Amino acid sequence: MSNAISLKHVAYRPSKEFAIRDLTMAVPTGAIYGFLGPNGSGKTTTIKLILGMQEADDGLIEVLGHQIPQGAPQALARIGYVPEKAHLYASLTVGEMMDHHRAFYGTWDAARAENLRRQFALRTEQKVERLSKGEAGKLMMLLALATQPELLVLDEPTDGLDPVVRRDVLSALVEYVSTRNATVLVSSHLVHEQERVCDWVGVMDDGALIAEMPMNTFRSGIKRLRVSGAPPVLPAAPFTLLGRTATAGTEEEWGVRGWQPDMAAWVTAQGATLREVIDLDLEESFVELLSTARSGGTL
Amino acid sequence: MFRAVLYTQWKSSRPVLLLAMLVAGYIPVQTLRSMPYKSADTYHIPSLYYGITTASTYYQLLALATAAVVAIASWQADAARQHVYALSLPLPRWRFVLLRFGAGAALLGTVAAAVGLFGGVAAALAPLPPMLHAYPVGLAIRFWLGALVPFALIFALLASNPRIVRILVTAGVTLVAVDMMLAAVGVIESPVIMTWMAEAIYASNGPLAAFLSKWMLVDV
Amino acid sequence: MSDRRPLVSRFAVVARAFMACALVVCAGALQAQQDAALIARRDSLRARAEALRVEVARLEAIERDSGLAADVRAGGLHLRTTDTLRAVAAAALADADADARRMLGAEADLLANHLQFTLREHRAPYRWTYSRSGGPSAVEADGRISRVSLEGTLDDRDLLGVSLDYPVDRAELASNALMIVERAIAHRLPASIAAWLNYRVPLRPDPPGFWPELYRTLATADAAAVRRCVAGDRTSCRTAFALDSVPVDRVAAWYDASDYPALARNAGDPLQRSGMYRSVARDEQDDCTVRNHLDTCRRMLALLPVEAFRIPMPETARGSLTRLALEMGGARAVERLRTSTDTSVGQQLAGAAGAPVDSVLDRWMQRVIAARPSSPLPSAGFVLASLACIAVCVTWAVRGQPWK
Repeated sequence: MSNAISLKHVAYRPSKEFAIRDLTMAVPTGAIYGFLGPNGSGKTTTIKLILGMQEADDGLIEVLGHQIPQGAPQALARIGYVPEKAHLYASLTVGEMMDHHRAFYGTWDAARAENLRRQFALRTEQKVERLSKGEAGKLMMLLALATQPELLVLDEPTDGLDPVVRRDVLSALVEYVSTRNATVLVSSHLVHEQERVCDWVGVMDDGALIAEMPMNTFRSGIKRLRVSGAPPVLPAAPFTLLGRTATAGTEEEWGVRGWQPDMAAWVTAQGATLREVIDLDLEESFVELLSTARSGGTL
Repeated sequence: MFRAVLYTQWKSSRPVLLLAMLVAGYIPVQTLRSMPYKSADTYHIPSLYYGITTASTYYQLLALATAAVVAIASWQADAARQHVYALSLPLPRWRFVLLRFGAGAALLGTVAAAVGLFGGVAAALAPLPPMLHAYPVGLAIRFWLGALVPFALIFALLASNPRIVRILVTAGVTLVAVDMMLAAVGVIESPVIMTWMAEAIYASNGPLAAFLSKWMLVDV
Repeated sequence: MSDRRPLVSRFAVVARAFMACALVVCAGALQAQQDAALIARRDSLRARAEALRVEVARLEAIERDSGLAADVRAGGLHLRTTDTLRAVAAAALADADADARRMLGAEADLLANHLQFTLREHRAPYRWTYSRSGGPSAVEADGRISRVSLEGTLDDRDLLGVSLDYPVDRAELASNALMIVERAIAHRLPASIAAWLNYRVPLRPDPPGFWPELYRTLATADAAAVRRCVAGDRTSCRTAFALDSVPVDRVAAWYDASDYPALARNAGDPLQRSGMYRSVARDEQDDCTVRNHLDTCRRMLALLPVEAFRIPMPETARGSLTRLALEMGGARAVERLRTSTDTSVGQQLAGAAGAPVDSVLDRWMQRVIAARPSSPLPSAGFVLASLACIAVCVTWAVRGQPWK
């Protein structure tokens, strides 16, 4: 399986306070890759590195077969990008903004653009500076989709949008991906939203990618175990113990990754009693993962 | 692509450009109409020549102001959004900068064209004496070139890394201050850097040479 | 007793009066004696001061000239200066002599033993310093040469002194020496043409752009006669140059009615003008200078003395005409001009040129009219300099990363 985006040992220090360190990441072609992480974890900076807007200090970045930043113009011609904040020219109208964008993309699909404009209920004569946040988000999605990109890079595309607009934007995205088999890198800190659409997930925290895996593995692999009578020191386990938290008496809660039902025997063999295996949703898994990472635990 | 960039710049600087064109029309009309010593069929040549020489300064000020506004307008929309949209476009940065510069130069060209056109019309309608002739094309070219130099300078400043600009400005100010202090305490006879800068800038072929000559709509 | 008393009394009165008179006379004599002494003392002090002044001047002159050990000669020109300045002075004087000889020919030798140049060094005795607490103050300088002065003396009569920056620029020194030669030659000419030339015979080659600039000056001159001259009217040229004589009615001869308002505002010395116009109310003055009423202008102009209206052809134009006449006249032109007995400037120039004044004038007019600037388009040098500056700025902009 080829990768639409590949980062190898990328390092970048935009300021004294923050740095991307040894970032290795791969977005498979055709995947919808959820790029998760709390605010300030480095998602937007990574996206800017991927698009060639910033130049990495070290490492290799390849996007759609083009080295970045050298081949950024060629890669960008095949990428639809929706940034975190509206980046459009305020003095233009919606129609003028569409015309402007069209001038730079030979792949511009006028019919699709018009359909999306109608679907998003945007008027051509509306001034960009007077658009609401939702309308601006829709216009940016329109511009990204109308260029028929092979790769969509969406940085917090639904952040701050109301549920109706969010549904419109996501449905337009899903429809496009289903018909074009495009790769999508969608960054967000809204984990539950990613759960519905993504098939791959990468988790970023403090400038490092702390996990990257298929969504199914991520969703099913992290569990919380309620255990009692466990010894203080455990031998090597067949699963990854993310963390141990004492609750009441001898009871503990374990965060684990790679859990399989037959591993209950290993717990019993340690003289402990497995009282309950709790399935975590994506958000709970995400939080578990982050807290383990921040406490210096093994992931 | 150029048309698209040109349109965005036109849209953002349109009010100022239209005002500049109006002023470009007003200057020759005002100069040729308000001559105090105009008789029925001709002007008093020295007075007219004096008036046109004064108008030359107005043209220079107009060029300077228009250049500054167009240069600022060239980058304003991008700068307001940290250049994200421009950087996401599928073309090399140098090409985008050239497109922006070309669009700015073209917009200044429209004002220069207005200077030439209005100047030409006003001079054609005025009863110019046989000793004096109108040179609207020469004036328009001079206006355009004269405006392009400050435009390019401000354009480059705004397109630079702010940190580098800060370093350059700080270094420049420090050098000049040290130079002046040394001159004040008598280590050197006169400020060397200031003199050198003034000579370099205002030399007959220096970057501001255009503003040292007269921009005459009507001449001998 | 009682009879004697009045007598005594009278005597006493007379005696007192006599004594008083004697006292007054004595006091007067004493005062006169004291005044005479004071006057004598004053005169002696004055004499001493004068003697000291002369002595100081003599010592200063000795001190000033003491360093002038170098005697530089170039053709008919010679110059005294210090050893420090000898090299540059020699080179500059040679340049000036070559320029002068080009126009004067053998006449340049006329100046030998008459014109004496002196090039002196000046050292500032102090220099200014500034301190925040004490403000400006003068401190003793380090004795470096701060400037030099070039002086010209013709037959012991001072011609001109020029102050120059140090280190001396050879071309600047040569140019100033030549200017002094130009003045020296003018003092050898008949009074009428010397005054017409404002005591300077132009010897130097025309600087670049001289004729186009002259055309511009003449075409936009205040006087209609000058403008008509450059438009090709020879009679107006003769009038504007005052070649035959200065006209009696200068205003009528040199100016058109449309020139009057500007003339009324600008003619003559400003202080003299405002004094002469005192009899004209401010409103009336505005009638002329602002509202262009020619009758009022005529009345105001009539109030001005005739000297307020000088020859309208500028000095540069008169110089260029003279140069042309001298060029036409060849080797002995200056000699003919110097020995001319004609009274009118036109005849003197014709004599120098060896041709009728009209043919000199025609040639001058041709040269001026041919020099009319064709178009005020920017020069190639200016265009290239602008484009180079723009290219540097664009390169700078292309490499910029304003988002960082």
